[in-house]
Amino acid sequence: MNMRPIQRRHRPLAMGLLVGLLLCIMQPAMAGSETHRRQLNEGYSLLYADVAGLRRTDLLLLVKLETDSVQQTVRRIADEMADMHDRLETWAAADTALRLDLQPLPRVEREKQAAAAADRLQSFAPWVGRTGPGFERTLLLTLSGALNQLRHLTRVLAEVEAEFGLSNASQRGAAMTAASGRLDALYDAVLTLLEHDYYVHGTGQSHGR
Amino acid sequence: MAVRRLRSLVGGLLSALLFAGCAIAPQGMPAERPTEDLNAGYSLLYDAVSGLQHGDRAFYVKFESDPAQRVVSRVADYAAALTADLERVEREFPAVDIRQQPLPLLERRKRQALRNSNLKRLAPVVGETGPAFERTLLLSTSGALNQLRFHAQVMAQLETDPALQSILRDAEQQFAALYVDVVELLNAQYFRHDTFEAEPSQ
Repeated sequence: MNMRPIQRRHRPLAMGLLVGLLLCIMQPAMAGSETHRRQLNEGYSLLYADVAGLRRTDLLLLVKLETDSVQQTVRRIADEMADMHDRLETWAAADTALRLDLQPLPRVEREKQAAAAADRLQSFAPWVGRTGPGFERTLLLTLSGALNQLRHLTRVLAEVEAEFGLSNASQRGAAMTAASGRLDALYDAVLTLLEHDYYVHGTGQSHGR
Repeated sequence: MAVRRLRSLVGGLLSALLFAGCAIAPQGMPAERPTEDLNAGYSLLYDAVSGLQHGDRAFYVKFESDPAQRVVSRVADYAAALTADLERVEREFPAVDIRQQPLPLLERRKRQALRNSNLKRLAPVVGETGPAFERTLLLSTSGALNQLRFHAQVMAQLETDPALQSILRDAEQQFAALYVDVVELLNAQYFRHDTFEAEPSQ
């Protein structure tokens, strides 16, 4: 078969067809990458909102806490939350594709969380709310719940970063893995404190995993 | 004067702390029924209660205390009744959908990881036993009930259909009553300091 080279006047058309074909091939991959980025951004936005809410927990030390061990644990948690908060903001400043301001939860879920937080706030309020061991135990239980959520969220973020393999994945994935380890340790510390000082029966087990 | 200023400052700081990143609660009932929001809410409610309905049987062999077993059974019984109610509602109200997956991927995976971790702690043979097991189960149950009572409350505020609103109001009351029972038992038998008070909420 006699193959003739494409004539000069047909070259733009051929180039256009080639580019179109390439775009058709790449579109699903690009759409998949956008979906992955959105899913990760939803996860980082949830993490950022939680961390922002918890990073000033140590303000409670100004008015209510009485026990040294609780004060130390609350300060450690507040410090960790402040570090994570700053790190997330640094990442978002360096990478414009990273979003921390999404609200991916359904409306009912968001409003439920706000109502539950308002109720807990009332029980923590100075002068009118709980005091003494009842307040400290409620605070530790609340923090243990929050840390339990966060350690799993950071672990899932590390897994998903590795699965999706977007830019900056290895740096952020490694940071999330390290964060989940520190959150495991804080979670263990809170449960140990609860068992030692606030529960009748201990378990003598590690709880973090 | 100084005390008032400090009180105001601390109140403001606490509000900022606990409300950071949260939406503001709705002020009144909307004019139109927000079907999409409600169906997401019904689906989450159905998922939660259908998961609670077998709690008593799943851990039957591990209970050592009758009061703990009784209260967990009551929670499971109500969860089973509400599960059946929601399935009936879906059949009778075409606008209601209880089978959606409204949560984002990362949140779904996080919740699954949490469930697996909790099950590991409570599992027969290898998990916690005796009073420690009962305390962990009661704490998990109280957390779920606390979330569910506010979930039902928020949905009742959004729902405009009187029949559905009535179901949600009743659910809110049932969850709140069960929550108080679980917290009262925790205080009486599992916490070192019994600080239970019926009001304000625990």
